[in-house]
Amino acid sequence: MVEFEKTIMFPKNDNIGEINIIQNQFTAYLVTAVRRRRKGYLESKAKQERYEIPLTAGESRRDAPCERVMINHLHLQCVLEKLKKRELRILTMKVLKGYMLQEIADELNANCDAIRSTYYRTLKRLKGELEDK
Amino acid sequence: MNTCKEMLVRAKADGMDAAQALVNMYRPLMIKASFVDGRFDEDLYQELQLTVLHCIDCFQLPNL
Repeated sequence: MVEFEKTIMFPKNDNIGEINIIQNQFTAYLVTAVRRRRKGYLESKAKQERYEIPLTAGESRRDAPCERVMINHLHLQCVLEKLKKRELRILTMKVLKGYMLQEIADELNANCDAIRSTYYRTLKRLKGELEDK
Repeated sequence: MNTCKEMLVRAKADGMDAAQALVNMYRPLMIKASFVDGRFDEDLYQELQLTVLHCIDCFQLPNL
């Protein structure tokens, strides 16, 4: 601890001489890097919170029932209602709950290729319907 | 007394003590940046510590 206090005691930096210039350059470099990292961190945190599904205490994201997912976009809701129950389930498990295709196949007792083709077909259909409107 | 330049040179040459001293030296900057809406964010503080270590590696000492 004493050693640490010795190392942080610097004389006044008047930006004259090689040592002071290097220290100032490094500080400026560091300040910019810290500011960028902070901005990136706050942006990613805000993005995470925007799409986060509210959970009750003691409940993990994967345990949350699909029905609890709030979909505010009215048009998207109408389009989703047109989907078959199985398609909607695969889409919700993959997109909102983050399951892998193999995990969905295991859960639904189906072939992974069939799940994959259903998922991509559903996505294509959704995109098509949303673009039409 | 260790100058900033000496510590940078030693830290770049895998000197853990020098890197630690530099992190300690810039601790107030990291603490200040870690406050979000008046609350200290521990995760952000750790991210910033990693950023300082990354900067020590990446900073190119100028030839004055």
